[in-house]
Parts: sequence; structure tokens; C-alpha cells
Amino acid sequence: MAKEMLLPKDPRYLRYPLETPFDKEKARWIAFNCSRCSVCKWVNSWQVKSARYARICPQHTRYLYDSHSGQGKCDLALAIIDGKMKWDDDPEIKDILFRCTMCGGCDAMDKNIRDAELIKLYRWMRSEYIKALGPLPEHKSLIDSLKQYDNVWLQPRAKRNSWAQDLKNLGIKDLNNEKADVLLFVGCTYGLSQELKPTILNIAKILKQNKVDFGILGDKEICCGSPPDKIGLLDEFERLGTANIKRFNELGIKTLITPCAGCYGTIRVEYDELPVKKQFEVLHVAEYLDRLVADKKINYKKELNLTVTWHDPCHMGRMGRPYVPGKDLEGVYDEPRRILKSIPGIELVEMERIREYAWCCGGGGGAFTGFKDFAQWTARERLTEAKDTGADVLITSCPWCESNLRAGGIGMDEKMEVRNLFDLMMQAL
Amino acid sequence: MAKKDIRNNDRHQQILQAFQAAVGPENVKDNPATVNAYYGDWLPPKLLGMSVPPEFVVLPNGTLETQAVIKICNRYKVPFIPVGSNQWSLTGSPNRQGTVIIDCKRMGKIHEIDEKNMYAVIEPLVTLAQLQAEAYKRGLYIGSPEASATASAIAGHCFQGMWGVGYRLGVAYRNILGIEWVLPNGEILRTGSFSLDAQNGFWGEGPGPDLRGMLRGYAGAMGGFGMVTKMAVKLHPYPGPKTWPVRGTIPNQISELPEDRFKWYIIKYDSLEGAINFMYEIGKAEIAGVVQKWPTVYYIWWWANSNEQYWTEWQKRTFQDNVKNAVGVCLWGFTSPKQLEYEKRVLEDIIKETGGKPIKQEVFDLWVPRTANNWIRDTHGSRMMRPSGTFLALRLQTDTLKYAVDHVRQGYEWVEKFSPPILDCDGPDWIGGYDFGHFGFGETDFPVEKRAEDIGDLMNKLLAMTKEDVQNGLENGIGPFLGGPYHQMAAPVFNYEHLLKGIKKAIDPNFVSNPPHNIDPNA
Amino acid sequence: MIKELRDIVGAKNVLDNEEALALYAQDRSLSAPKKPFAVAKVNSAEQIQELIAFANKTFTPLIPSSSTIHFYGATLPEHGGVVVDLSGMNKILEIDPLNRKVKIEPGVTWHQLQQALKEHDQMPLNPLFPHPGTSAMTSSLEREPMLIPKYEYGDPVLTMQVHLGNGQLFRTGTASDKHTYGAYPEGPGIDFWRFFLGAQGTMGIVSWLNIKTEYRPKYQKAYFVACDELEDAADPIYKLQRRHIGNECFVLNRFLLAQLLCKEYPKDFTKLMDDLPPYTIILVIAGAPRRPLERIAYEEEALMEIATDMKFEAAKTVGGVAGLGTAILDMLHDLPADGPYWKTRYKNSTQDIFFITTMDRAQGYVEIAQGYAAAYGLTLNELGVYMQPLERGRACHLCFSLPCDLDSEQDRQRIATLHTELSQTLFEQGAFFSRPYGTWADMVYRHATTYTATLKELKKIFDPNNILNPGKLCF
Repeated sequence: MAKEMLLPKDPRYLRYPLETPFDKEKARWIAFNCSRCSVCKWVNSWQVKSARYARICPQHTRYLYDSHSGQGKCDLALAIIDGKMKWDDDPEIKDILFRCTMCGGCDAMDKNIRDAELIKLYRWMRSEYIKALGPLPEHKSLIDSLKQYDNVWLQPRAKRNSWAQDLKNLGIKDLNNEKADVLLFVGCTYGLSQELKPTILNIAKILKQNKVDFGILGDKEICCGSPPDKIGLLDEFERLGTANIKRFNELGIKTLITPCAGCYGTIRVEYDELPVKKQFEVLHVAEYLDRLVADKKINYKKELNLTVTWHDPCHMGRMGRPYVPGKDLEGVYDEPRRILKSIPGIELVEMERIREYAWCCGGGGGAFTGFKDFAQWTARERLTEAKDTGADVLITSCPWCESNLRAGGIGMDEKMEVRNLFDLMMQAL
Repeated sequence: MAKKDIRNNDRHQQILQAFQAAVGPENVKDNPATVNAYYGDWLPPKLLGMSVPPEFVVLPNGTLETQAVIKICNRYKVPFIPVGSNQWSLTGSPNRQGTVIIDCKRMGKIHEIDEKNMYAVIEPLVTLAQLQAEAYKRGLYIGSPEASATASAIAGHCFQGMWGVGYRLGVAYRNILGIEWVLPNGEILRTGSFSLDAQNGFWGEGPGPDLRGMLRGYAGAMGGFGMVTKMAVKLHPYPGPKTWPVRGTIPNQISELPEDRFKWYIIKYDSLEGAINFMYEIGKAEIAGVVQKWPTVYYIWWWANSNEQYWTEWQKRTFQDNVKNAVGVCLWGFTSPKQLEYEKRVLEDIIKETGGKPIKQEVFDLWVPRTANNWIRDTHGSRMMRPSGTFLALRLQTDTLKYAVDHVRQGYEWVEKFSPPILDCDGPDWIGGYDFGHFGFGETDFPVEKRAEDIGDLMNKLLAMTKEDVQNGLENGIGPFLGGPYHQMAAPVFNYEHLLKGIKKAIDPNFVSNPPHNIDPNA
Repeated sequence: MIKELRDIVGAKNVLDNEEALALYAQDRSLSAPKKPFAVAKVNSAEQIQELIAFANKTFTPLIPSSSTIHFYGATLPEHGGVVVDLSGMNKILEIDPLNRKVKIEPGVTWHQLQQALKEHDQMPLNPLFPHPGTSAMTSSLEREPMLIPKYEYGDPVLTMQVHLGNGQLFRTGTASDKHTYGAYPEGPGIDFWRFFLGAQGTMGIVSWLNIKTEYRPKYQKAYFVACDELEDAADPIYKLQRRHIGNECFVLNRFLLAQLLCKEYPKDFTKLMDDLPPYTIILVIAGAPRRPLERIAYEEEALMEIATDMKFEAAKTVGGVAGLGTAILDMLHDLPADGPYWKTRYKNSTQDIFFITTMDRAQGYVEIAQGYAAAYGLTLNELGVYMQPLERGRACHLCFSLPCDLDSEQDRQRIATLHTELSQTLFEQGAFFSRPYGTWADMVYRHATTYTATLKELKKIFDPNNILNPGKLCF
């Protein structure tokens, strides 16, 4: 008779406790099992293509000390949970926790070697920090804005009507009053930024040209909840998220599409944590349009003659799917690339760090609002990498990435134009 | 809190100011949130409460700043630990209060890659993966470290470094060329051709007696002999592509090496002796780039993409029933595709003569593309932590292949004796062939649950076993990884106590370089 | 004192008569003679131990010497003392064909070793056609370059038993553990073995050494590439080494190759000097134990492909010399047991200057050497040049041979000055003298201050009374 196998006593080693709520116990489990292997600091070595672009973590690259890395945050979590440190022991704890773009680079690299959810750990830590010491002054305007206006830009709700009106002029349905299969969820940043507004109009035009039955919520659209989620205001996230799911379910839509990577990742993945369940499919506009490209429904009229490179927004890529241990960290990687390749005259050249091992733009996790110097430093790193490809333009599809990369590019010797995927598409139509 | 805070102490402030003057205020930290990130490790010290946070973390840039930092440590007689990526070591965590961590985060330059003469000059932060990427671009190769490619390449060369391609290209100790090195006493030592010209590190030996001897040893000097700030390392000819041919998405990545230049075989034998005989024959025939008899656990450690997958496959015995006593051979066509064809014919002759059988095709297909090829680039050793939070080793020794067999056989007995807390592992017996079979390396690794009680229990057992071995005049190889305490015990037995203590005393008169490693001269 | 020596090694093994001492007082270098007080011929490790105890008691220098053939002044007693003649310890203690290693005593010569290994289909990794009397152990310990750069894993030294100046008997590597086969050099503790390499006997006296052996090929083919300049040889070798082609690979200039090949001097020599090209790459392609001809075939094919690409000719001979391949292969297979040393055909000594550099810098050094040689009246045809690629061509050993008539004081002085000045200039130009013999030591160690200081610290531990070969290196 075969000898009985000696297996680990703790069942969490036999199977990662994916379904259990993310509480202190789970946080400790992840932190405790950090082996200081440093994969959280570097691009997965199988994908390292040069010494120059081998780093994955903007925070660790910028601030150097190991405390500012995934490993360091695990050490911090363990010290806090085990009572060796308190949140107010050291003012630098704030920087360690919040000078992080929550890009998920470390999280993705870590998932190559173990089952863990570092980003969820950080979110839990941020939330505990806020519970103990209150929100960060750097995030005050953002929080006030959310509370007052349900958006992150301190803009009155009615301001959304400025673009909503443009869309209505195009004959786009108002889903507050009408029915459609598809909701175009615009998001606060595209919705309220004058600079980014044309993108929404371009998307609407493309959808319209292709006879997509879609509509918008206009000034009734509220924040998806991504910023509070990332900065640890979990109650606020739950408030916004729950309200949104209920509203979207009531609309009877089949599909929600959004051009914002932040909204996308939040609605598609993070909403799964909320008690109310979604009754619709969530797609990034790039995924939706990719289907049209595949069906040869997009008829380009112009050739653009441009060499471009694609920047993978974190929340559209590695953080754009729910985590299943052992399964691919899928995301919207191929769709935008296929769209780019479909545009006449476009040559796509890749940066070294792409897809699930892409370098962050620097704009996430509250850094864009709270820690501009760091956010823009991170952006400059990305722009330099883009420049090294020989591309004329960096293309992306996330308002945070676009804004932060543009801000980061100011003052750089070598300019790199940053454009939105759908604007480029429209230019060829 | 304030009363206990060592930072309020005058001496602390004095040292802090000295460091600040040496490296700039932003490059030295003493706050709890920073130092808290510098005393954990995958191995037991932190888990068992044997390590404490350092008092300072200092980030010098370059040799001169490192020298200044080390001189300050000497002035104030404070211990320091030089760290690379600071993973995979028992001895990189402070074991006493008041320690200074010298972190190399500002030393990440590749000073030079001399493509023609096949070497690179690097600083300590440069990882094996970074160096490898630059080497590939030039048709060169650094070898696959047995740890992870996120490790510092300098530290990887100083440490054990029994990398697989060492079979053909030389064990890590042979890959070190010129070194620029701040000794524990703060003097800058340049070895090999650096001793003549600090810009030119192409040659490692001398002049005269070779002081590189101080740096290594079976498991390195454990930071006990100062800090290397610049090293020239060999690069080797490589017949593969200019970028690593990987595809897929984490964690399911597959690499495909050109079939006309690389070919894996995994050949199974009825006994360990059969497997070793096969390895000898390959070495004698002067073929192959990698020859490894991995233990069953390695196959699944490196292969499994989740804990569930690991333990499910383990319980199905997918690997235990197929790869026991199997030898992994990778043929490399350095010269041409015809070399590969030639080596295939020779290998197949040997397989036939020695009665080897290829493992089941489905297991080969399951394993090789996902694991074996990627192993050439990075073993991702940290995956060894997956199934139970950590792993430990019980014996390892390099001598001949034959000795490796005897060695792991003894290892089996100990594993049996210590299970539990050692978890199921199917007789862990890693045997590597090196230098075309001149050397054999045997190691006994196994998973053990990362629980203080289990690890503590096992650590005590392992220490008792090591002690017993040493008393019997047997160097079981795991000992050197413990650094000082081991050398204290083993040095009188193997007759190097006077020498090692003498050297330590001579170059580390204040006993500040990671005490008690690599030996305490006064004990 | 003599009595004590006799008590240790036996009366007949102590030499103290003037004639005998004169023999040990000089070698084939231009170093001034330095007479020892006595010579003790030892036969066992125990005797060495006793000698060391004696020396520590009396502060007598001990100068280890494994053979009677020395070229660099390393065994001349700078401070007097007793020459420890180890040449009588000439046993091959163990041949281990399975693990491809051999355990030798100090007095074993290359010829002896080669012959003994032959029946096991093994060969030692020897330097360039060594003098028949050269000790295989000394060559290995002194890091003389091997002819085969293909063994990337480098030097042949494995483990050793060494008698330290402090009286300690020490074994390096796994030889420190009696359970092992003594096959691995690292440890115990640190890599002590490295301290005994290139040490000229100053750190310890080695009484046995395990070195690697390799398969002795049964099938070989020699190819030759004629080059006008040394730099023309570098690129083909870089390419060949990078592609793992060939076993022995080295470059000799006309002067050295002519001396090597000539059977009758001066007749053959003169003809060869007329016929041979300025430089010749010698590349031996060898079969492995299995399917030897198939290996030769693919390597040969790759050689020809590279030759075509790079536009050089890899031929069976150069300069129309008949039987060149066979001559070289024969010499490789059977190192001479006795007879005159090939490098001293032209004059009765060769004063070599050798150092490590990279092949792409070798030509520059040749030009310097030629300039100096001309200034001292040596023609281009009297300057020997040997380039030995190391470790797949990563670096090379470059050696200039200056022929010198030891019987002519004028020649001695001329060559001595040339040797010193040329060495100094080469050093200043980046030539790395990794084995600093004689006057090179001062040149090298004066520059490498911390290295020197650290070596001295080590020396104090290994040999606190500086009894082992004092006056050498920086000691």
C-alpha cells in the first residue's frame, strides 16, 4: 500500500483562497509568503529585452529603497498586522503606500511565481491607513469632488451636459429616457475634460456610422468608483459601484462599453466584489470596435503614414480581468493592436515593456492627483521608451494615461506625441 | 516610543551625519518604515525571530562612496551587510542591533560589454536578466543561474552558482574576471587586470597569487569580506536568438528555441546509478550544453502555475511516475546545425548503450516547452516557494558525479528521517554535471511548510545533522551556506581555522563586515 | 645545520658542495646567480613538513624547486637558504579516467605524464611544447597557458596538498574531506587554492596536485593559416573560437615555428625561415571518443565556411613545408622526453616576455616589441612571437622570445636591458603581467598597492617567518 502523502497542513497552500473576502487574514497570508525574490521589482526575466527597460515598478525605480516595492509593502503589512508597527509610527508610510500608481506591474510579475494579489493587498493597506489616520490631504480635492459631484474633477454634474449635448446633436440616444442595447459609459475624465472631449465624439461617430444601437447617460452618469477604490476609500467605491450596477441593470442594456481603461477595469473586474451582480457584458470600446474591424465593417478612407507605438493601460491590460490562479493574465492587449494594424498606413512598433509587463504611465492610484512629480517622472520614462522605438506617436486609450503622459512630456527634449486610438481611427475614416 | 527610539541617540546622529556627508542625505535612511524592509528573507531568520531590522540603510553610488561608507562603519565599529538583490541568502539579514545595510540600488550600471573579447563590466545592482538580455543581443550568454534572474549578477557570481550551462561553459567561480572591491577595512582592492588598469577588467587572475580566492568558496564569503562594487564577468558564445523567444502570457509562457541549434532529451533510467553512468558517458563524449538529473520536485516546482495545479498533479503522480531517475540533456549546436546533428547521433548511441528510455512523450510535451527552455533563461527559483511557502536543502556537495550519488543517497535517509516536517518530495536528488563531467554536484532539496514550528524543528534537526557530519569529517555542503557559525564548527575539522580567521582579522580588523560571517576571528 | 638537514632527508640527499650549489645558483634566465646554502632533495611529504619546521626554527629560507629547468629566476635563492629539490618526488599517484583527473607529485614531467595517461586514452592539458624536464605541477600551478582554448572551464587545477610556511599541512578543495574524490577546487571555507597559483612557491610547497585530464584524440587534423601580421590572425581566431572549432589553437611567428620544426640546425632553420610566412595559425581539429570522424567533418566544414567568408586559407601546410601537419601532430602526441629545447636552437637561451592581453591589442604590442628589438640590434627574424588564445579567445597569452647567448656577456647585457625596457613599456601600455617573475614583480606590485598590501597580509598568515622563497613577488 502506497505511503500516505505528506501534504501541507494549511489548506491555503493546497489551493489559493481566492473566494474568501480580502481581510486582514488574507492580507497577512500574502505578505507572509513573500520570499523576497524581487520579481515584483523587475520585468519577468523571460521578457527582459535590455538592461535599460528591465524594471517593472515605477515607485521602486524612482525611490530605490526596498520599502518602496512590493516586497517592502509586504514587509510593512506584516509588521502592521503583527503589531510591530503602527500606521502613525513613521510619516514615510504614507509615501510607501500612496506613491504607488497601483499599476499592478508587481502584482502581475508576482503571479508568475506564486498565487497572490498584491494590488488587493495594497488597497487593503490603504483603506486601513485611511481608517486609522484619515484620507490624505493630497487627495482631498478628489474626495470632495466625489462627494459633492460624483465625479473626480470638481465639476458640477451639469457640466457633463456640455458634451452630452454634442452627442445628442449627433442623434445619440439618452438612455435615461430611451432604450438601447449598448451603453457608452464615458467616464468622468473623458466627460469633463475639454481636451479629451473630441475622443468621445469620435467614438460616437464611429459607432453611429456602424449603426450601433447605443446611448449615453448624460449628466446622470456618475463616477465608476475607480479613484476611491484605488486610494482606499472603499465605502465610497461601494456607494458609487452599487449605484452604478443597479442603474445599469435597470437600463436593460446588453453591453456596457467604455473608452476609459480605469472605468473598464473597475466595472469589469472590481464590481464583482460588490453584492449586486452585473447583468450585462462589459467591453472596452477597443474590444467592441475590434469586432467591427474583424467583421470588416470599418471602411477607412485615408492612409495615415505614421509609425506608432501602443501603450497598454494597466487597467485595460493586466488588471482588466478577474484573477484566477494559474490562468493567463488576460486583458485587452490584442484588440487595440489589431485596430491599429487595420488603419491604412499605420506601422505598429512595440516598446520593450508591453502587455502584462508594460510600464505604467504614472497616472494611476491617485498619483496623478496627489503626487504629480512622481506621476510625471513615471510618464517620462514611458515616453523615453516610446521614443526609443522610433515611433512618431504613442497611442493609447485611457484618459489618465493620455493626460499624464502629455503632462510628463512637457519640457522633455525629445517630444513624443500622445494620441488616442479612436481619434487616430477617426482620422482615417 | 520616543524614549526607546535609537534615533535619538547621539551616536546614531553622529553616524547618520557621517553617512549623509558621504552619500548625500537622501541616500541614507534610518526610519522604521525603511529599515523594516531589510530584514526579511525566504529562509528562517525572520520567521524564527533571529533577525532584526538594520539601524541604517545606505545607498552609495560607486566604489568611492562605498569606501566612504565602509570607512565610517570602521570608525564607529558598526557592522555592515552589503546586499545585492538580497534574496536567497541566509546571511543577508541583520543578526544584531545596529547593523548598516549597504544597498546597491544606485549601482546599476553596465560599464562595458566587450563583445569581441566576451566580457561585461557590471555594478552590483545589474541583474542576471539584464546582463543576459544585453548578452543575447550580441550573440552571447551568461548562463542560467540556479536562483532567479532577478538576482544581482555580481552576487550570483560570488555565491554558489551551479548554473546548468556550467556543464559546458564553466561553474560560476570561473566566470569572474577583474574585480573592484572595497575590503572590510575600507581599502579598495582591484584584482586581475583591474589591478593594472581600473578600466580594464578582462582578466581575472593575479598578479601572482590570486586574491579572488577570498571572495568565493563553496557558498561565497557571505558579505564577510567587504563589498564588490564592480566586476568583469565572462560572456560565452551562444547560438540562440538575439531576444529570448518567449510567447504567451504570465504565468503560461512558452519558449521555443531554434530546432537546428537546441534539442532537449529527457531520458529515464531504472536507477540513479544508471542515470549517472549516462551522465559520465555524455561528458566523456564532449557533447551537450546542459546535463542535469533533476529531482522530481524540480520538475513540478518549475512547471506548476498555481498551488492547486502543483498539488493536484502531485497527487496524480504525473511527475513521480515519469521522471524519477531521468536525466535532462540539452544539446547546443555552437558550431553549426551539423554539430547538433552530430551530437544527436552520439547521444542516441549512448542512450541505446546505457539502456535509457525517453520519458513519456506527453510528459515531455507538457514540460519541455513551458519549463525546460525557459530554464535556460531563468529557472525562476522562487517558484520553489510555491507549494508550501518555502523549501530547504539538506545536503549539497560538489565533487565527482559518483560522489554526488553517494551524497544524495545519504540525503534520502535524512529526508526520510525528517519527514514530517519535510513534505512529500519523492526523494529529492538533484545531480548536476559540470565542466564536461569533471565535476558532479549533488543537492537534496525539499518543500517544507512555512510555519515557525515546522521550520524551527527542522532547522534544529538540520543543524544537528550538520554537526554530526562535521564531527565525522564530512562536509555536507549545506554548512557553508550558514556562514560564520558553520565555519566556526568546520574550520578546525577541515583545517582552515587559522587561515580563515587570520584573513578575516587581517582585512576586517574591526569585525564589521557582516559578522559573524564568514567567521568570527575571536571566537 | 647541514646535520639537521641530513637528519631530515638523509645524508646523500643534502648537497652542499660548491659544484652542486653552483648548479642551483642560476637558471636559464639572465638573473644574477644566487647561491643557496644547501640543497635538500626530498622524497616525501613528511620530509617537507620537517624541513619547514626546521626552517621556521632557524629562519632559513626554503626555495622549492620541482625540476632542474627554470627560465624565470623563480627558484634562485634571493636570500640564500636551502633549495628544496622536489624532483625526486615524481610519482603519478593516481590516474582516474572515469573522472578524468590525475594526481601527480612535483617531479612528474609533461612527457612522463603524457605517456602514463596514453594507455587510458587521456592526455594532460600541457603548455606549448614544454622543455622535456619541466614539471607538470609547476606549469599548472604557475598558470602556464594551455594549448587548447576550447575548454572554457579553464585551468586544470583541482585540489592539492600543500605545506604552508606556518607548518600547517593543508588540503584544498574537496580534498580537505577524506570522503570525497578530491575533484573540486572550491573550499574549504574559501577558495584557498587560488592563493597557491602563480605564487612561485612563496605561499606553500605543494606535495601533490590533482589536475584535470582530457580525452586523447585518436583522429586529428592540423590546419595552418598563413598571416602577414599578427593582427591578421586575430579575427579568424575570434571567429573560430566563438564557433567552438578545434582543439589546439595558437599562433607562432616564423622565428619560433622554424625553431620548432627544424631537425638540423642551421640547415633546416635557414630554409624554414625562407619558406614560412611571418605568422602561422596552427589549428588542430580532433575527433571525440565517439564518431570521431563525424566531429572532425562538421568542424572542418565550419572552418572552411569561415575561411571563405573571411577570405583566408586554411591549408594543410604553409610555405610549402612538407609534412607540416604530421610533424605538429606527432609532437603534440609525443612530447619530447629529452634532447635540446626547441626554443634554444638559435641561441642557447630564450628570454621570454609574456603577459595577458586581448587578441585585438596584440598587434600593438608586437609593434612595440619590434621597435625595441630593432633598437637593440635584433632583426625581425630574431624576435619570437607566440600568441596563445585563452578561453575561447576571450584573452590571449602573448609571448615575445628574445634569443640570448648566455655565454656572451655582451649579449647577456644587451638582452637584459632590452628585456627590462621592453617589459616596462609593455606594462605601461596595459600588458597584464599576471605572473610577475623577477624584475617584473617590482613593476607590477608597485602599481597594485592594495593588492600588494593584501597579499602581504596573507603571506603573514601562511608563512609568518617568510621562509618560503623570500624575495620573490612582493614578499
